[in-house]
Amino acid sequence: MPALDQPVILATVLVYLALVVAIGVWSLRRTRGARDFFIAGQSIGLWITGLATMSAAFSGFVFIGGPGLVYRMGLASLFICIPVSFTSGLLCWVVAKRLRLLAEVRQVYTVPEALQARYRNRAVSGLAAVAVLLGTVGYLGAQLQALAVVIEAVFGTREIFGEASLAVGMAIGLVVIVFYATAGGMVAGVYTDLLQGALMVVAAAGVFFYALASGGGLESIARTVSESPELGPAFLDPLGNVPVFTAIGFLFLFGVGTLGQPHMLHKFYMLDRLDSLRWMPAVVGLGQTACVLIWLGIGLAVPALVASGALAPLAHPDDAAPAFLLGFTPEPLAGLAFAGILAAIMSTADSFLNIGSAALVRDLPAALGRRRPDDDAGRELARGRIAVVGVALAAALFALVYGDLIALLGTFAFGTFAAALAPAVAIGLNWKRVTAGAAGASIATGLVVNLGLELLSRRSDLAGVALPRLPPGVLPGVIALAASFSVLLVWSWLAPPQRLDRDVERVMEL
Amino acid sequence: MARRYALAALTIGSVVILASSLSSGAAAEIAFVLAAAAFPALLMVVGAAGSGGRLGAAAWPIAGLLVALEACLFAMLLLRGQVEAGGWVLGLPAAAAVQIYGVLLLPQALVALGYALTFDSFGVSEPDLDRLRELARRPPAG
Repeated sequence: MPALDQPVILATVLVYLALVVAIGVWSLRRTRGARDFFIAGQSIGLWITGLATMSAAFSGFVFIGGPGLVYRMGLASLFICIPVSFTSGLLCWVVAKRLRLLAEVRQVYTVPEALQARYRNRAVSGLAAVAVLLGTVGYLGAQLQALAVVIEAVFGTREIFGEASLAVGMAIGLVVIVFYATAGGMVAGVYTDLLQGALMVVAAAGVFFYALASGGGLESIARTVSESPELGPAFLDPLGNVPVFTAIGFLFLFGVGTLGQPHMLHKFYMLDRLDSLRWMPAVVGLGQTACVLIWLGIGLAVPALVASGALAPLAHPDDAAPAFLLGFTPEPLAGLAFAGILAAIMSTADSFLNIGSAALVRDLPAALGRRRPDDDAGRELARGRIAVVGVALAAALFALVYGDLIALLGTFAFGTFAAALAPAVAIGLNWKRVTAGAAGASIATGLVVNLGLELLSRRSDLAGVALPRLPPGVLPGVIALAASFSVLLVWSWLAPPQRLDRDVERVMEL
Repeated sequence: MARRYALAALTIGSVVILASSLSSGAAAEIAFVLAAAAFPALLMVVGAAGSGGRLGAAAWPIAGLLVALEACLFAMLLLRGQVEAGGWVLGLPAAAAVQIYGVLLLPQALVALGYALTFDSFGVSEPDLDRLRELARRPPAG
C-alpha cells in the first residue's frame, strides 16, 4: 500500500484509536464475570447487536480486497458480497431464535457449546472446537497481517524501522486490540463494534458517492468501461470474466456458508430480548449493503478512471482503493475511510480473539471431559483474559513466521467454518432427526474436504504427481459445503432419531 | 409438511450441487445455478416452519426470495456473453442491472421487510418463554 503521509489521515486514525482505547477503559468496570466477558452479559439490544454483527462479518477485505477484485475480474467478483442481500434474513430465520433460546435455558456461550447441548456428544463439540480454532488462527492471522500493512502506511513506519516495520505495525495494532479485548471482553467488543460499524457505513457511503461523481455518474462510468478496448463489455457481464461455477459458487459459499460463521452466530447469544430480532435483518442487511457500496463504487470508478486516462494503470489490483482515496476524495473523507478500514480489520480481529479464547477456556476442556473453573471466584474470567493474550500472541507469531501459511489459512477460513459448521448448526437446530453421528460425520467431512482440496490445489511441489483435479472454476469450499450438507441430510434420513433433552426439544419446537 | 418438503429438496439440492460441480457442460451449469439459487430459501423454510412444519405468513417473503434469485440468476445465464443485447437499465447493461438491482437490492427489501412484518407468526410469546424456563429448571429425565 502507498504511504499515506497526510496529516488529516493520521489525525483521524489517531482519534479513532483513542476512542477505541477509551471504550476499553469504560468496559473494564462493566465486565464482572465470564458471562459478561464472553456474551456481554446477554444485555445488548437491536442496534448494537446489528452493527456488531455487521462489523464483525466484514473485514478489511471489503474495503481493500473487494475493489481490487473488481479491477481484476470485473462484476463477477461482486457475487462474493452480493449474498448480503439475504444472509441477515437467513441467519435470523434459521438459527438466531434457536441460539438465543438455547442461551435462555443453558449456559451456552459458544457454537461448540450449542452443539454439545443439541447432540449430547463430546466428539461433536470437540470437532467443532477444532474447526473454530483452525479458522480463528487463519482469520486472526490474516487480520493482523492486514493491520500491519495499514498501520505501516498510515504512520510511515517503514522509513523509521526498515525491514522490521511490519512487525512494529502489527505490534501497535495488537496492543490496542488486546487492551480492549482483555479489559472489557465482549462488552468492549460490541461497543467498539458499534463505533466501528457506524464508521464503516458512513465512510463507505461517502466514498461511494464520490466514486460515482468522479466518473460523471453510474451510466457514464459503465459506458466508459464498456467502450474501453482493454476492458470491454465483458467486464460488466456478471458471468463474463469467470466460469459460472466460480461466480455462482461465490454466491452459494458466501451466502449459505454464513450459517457456519461463529463470529456472527456468537452475537445472537448476546441479545437482551427475542423481540429484538424483529428488525435485525433490516439493520444488519442495510449496514452491510451500505458497506458493499464501497466495493461497487471504487470497483467501477477506478477501471473507468484508468480507461479514460485520469489514473495510471495500477501495478497491483489491491492498490485500487488507496489510489482512489488518496487521489480523488477530500482528505477528511480519506481519513475517515482509512479509519473505517482499520475499524473493519479490528472489529473482526477482536471477535476472533474472544471466540478463540472461549474455545481454549471452555470448548476444548469441556470436549476433553474437564470441569469448568468456578466463575464465582472469577477464575474463568481470569483464564479468558489470559487466553485472549495467548491467542493474540500465537496468531501474531504465526503471521510473522509463517506469513504465507497464514495468508492461505485466512483465504479459506470462511470455507472451513462454512463446511464444518453450517449443516450441523442450521439443520441440526431445526430438525430433530439429525443425530450426533450425522453431525460428527458432517463436521469431519467439511473439515477434511475443504482443507484437503485447498491444500492440494496449492501444492506446487506435487506437480509431477497425479492428483484429483477439480473442473475449471470450481471452488473447493463449494464442494466441501455441499458434501457436508449431503452427508448430514442423507445420514439423518436413514438413521433412527436419537432422544433429545426436554428443554432442547422444546427450544426446537418453539 | 413444508419443513419436510424443504429438507427433501435440500437433500436433492446438495447432491445436485456436488454432482454438477464435478461435471461439465451447459446442463451441469444450469443444474448448479438452479440448485444454488434455491438453497437459501429452502433453508429459510426449514427455520421458519412452526412445530407442525407449517410455514404461515413467512411463506410469502421466502417464496418471493426464491423466485427473485431463480429468475435473476437464470436471466444472467441467458444474457451471458451478450451484455449489450438486453439494452441498458438504470445506468447499467441489462445483465449487470439484474445483478445489482435484482440480486443485491430486491432480496434485501423482501427479506428485511418480510421478516419484520411476519415476525409474530414465528416469534415466541412471553408465556411460552416462561414455560421453557420452567422446563429447563426441572432435573433431566432418565
